[in-house]
Amino acid sequence: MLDVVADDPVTRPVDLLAQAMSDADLLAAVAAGDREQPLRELYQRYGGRVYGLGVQLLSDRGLAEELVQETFVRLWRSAGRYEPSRGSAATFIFTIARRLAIDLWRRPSSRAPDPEHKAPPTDDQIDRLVTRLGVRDALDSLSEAHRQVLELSYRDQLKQTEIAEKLGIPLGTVKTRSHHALRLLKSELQRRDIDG
Amino acid sequence: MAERIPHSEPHPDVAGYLLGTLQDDETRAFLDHLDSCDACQIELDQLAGLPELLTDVPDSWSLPAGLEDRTFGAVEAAAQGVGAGTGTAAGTSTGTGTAAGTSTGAGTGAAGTSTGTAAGTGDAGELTTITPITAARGRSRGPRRPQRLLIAAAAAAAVIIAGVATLSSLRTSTSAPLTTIRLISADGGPAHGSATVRTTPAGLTIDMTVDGLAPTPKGRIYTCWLVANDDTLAHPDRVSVGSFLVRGRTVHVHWTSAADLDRFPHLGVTVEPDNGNPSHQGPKALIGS
Repeated sequence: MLDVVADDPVTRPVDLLAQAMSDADLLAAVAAGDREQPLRELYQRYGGRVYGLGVQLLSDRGLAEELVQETFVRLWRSAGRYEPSRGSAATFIFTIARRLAIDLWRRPSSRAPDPEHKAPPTDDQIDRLVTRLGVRDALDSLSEAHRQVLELSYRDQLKQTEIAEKLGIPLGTVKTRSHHALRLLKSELQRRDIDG
Repeated sequence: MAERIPHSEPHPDVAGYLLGTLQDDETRAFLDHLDSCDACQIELDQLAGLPELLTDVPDSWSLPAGLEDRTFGAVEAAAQGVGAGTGTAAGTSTGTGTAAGTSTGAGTGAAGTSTGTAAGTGDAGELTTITPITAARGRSRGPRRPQRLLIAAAAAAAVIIAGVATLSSLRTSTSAPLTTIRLISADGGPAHGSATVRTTPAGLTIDMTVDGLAPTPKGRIYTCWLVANDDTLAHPDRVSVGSFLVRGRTVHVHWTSAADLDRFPHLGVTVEPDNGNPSHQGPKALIGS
């Protein structure tokens, strides 16, 4: 801790404070006029998923960037309207993002000229996409060892014996690591308001 | 049925069973254990929803370099009371005066021209804020910001303040003084340039020189815009100055515009589809600073 403070006595304690705050507290701080560390912490927590939403929904990295920028401008402007009793901060943020994403989607150039996809995505479709992005985000928050054993299981469909051989580790380690990975994943999903 | 053996740790095959990664004999052994172990059944139930969530996970992605700074630049611009700052707009341009179409080289009152000799290296496919020319008005300091943003804001403010002073004189004089607006890449790339604004009896003339902008993608054109403060995604308020192609490293373009700088004080360049639709639809390539 002392090393951290000595390394950057001005900004690090602020960063650490923001990192310890809940999403709701961060939104309250933004609503109170602080558009720096609290909003940057929210960017760290949600920017990736909002960008992923843009990439998946709009199939255009430029438009996805535009979605991120506009979402955080709107978030800064509307943070004061967030009421924890009406839903989670994640729901509040993705409500903003989804509305903007639909606006961007409606731009003629933002989608391929496919007659089967004339209608904008439904709320259910976007909900599922947001959940999938949250799962990806949660997976990426795990250690490399934990993420690796899960990805080899669900993505590569390997048996535990094959995973042990591929990674060169004992079978028992694969079993223990898989269980810990699922436990940690569940915890990370809960932090993202995803039931699993 | 297996003997009931209390244990503090869940059975080592709980995860493998859920994920379907056990061998057949391991699965049978685990199911035998499960028949007599409430603790493992509870553990299984708690984790049971995870495998379904893992069946359709998108690939990982990385946030583009510089997006955080551009995003907070947009927030800062909005905080200064100069509009949303991201310059996003859908639909048809609604400004008075000029509203050039998206055909190459078109501009109100004058055809745009572009020349060049070599390909640029800038990535025109990414976005950033269209910086308002008059953003320095009423500028106030917010809470402490990271140094990189301070540096960027200070550099932008210096140029902006110079621009404001000249634009103010533009509005009060008929002697056609100049203002030069520095243009920088929207994605932090090497593209850069400048736009010189003059007044004439017919309106404004804008001479723009750009270096390092990526060659125009197939089916796309670059478009220069004057943007109002209240331009947003839901309520676009901007006019096209004109469009151009990039064939080489350096591009020179000249336009005339009847746009009112009081109403449209922001300048920027986007990449638009060459589909005849005059509205702003594409990502930003250059911003005025």
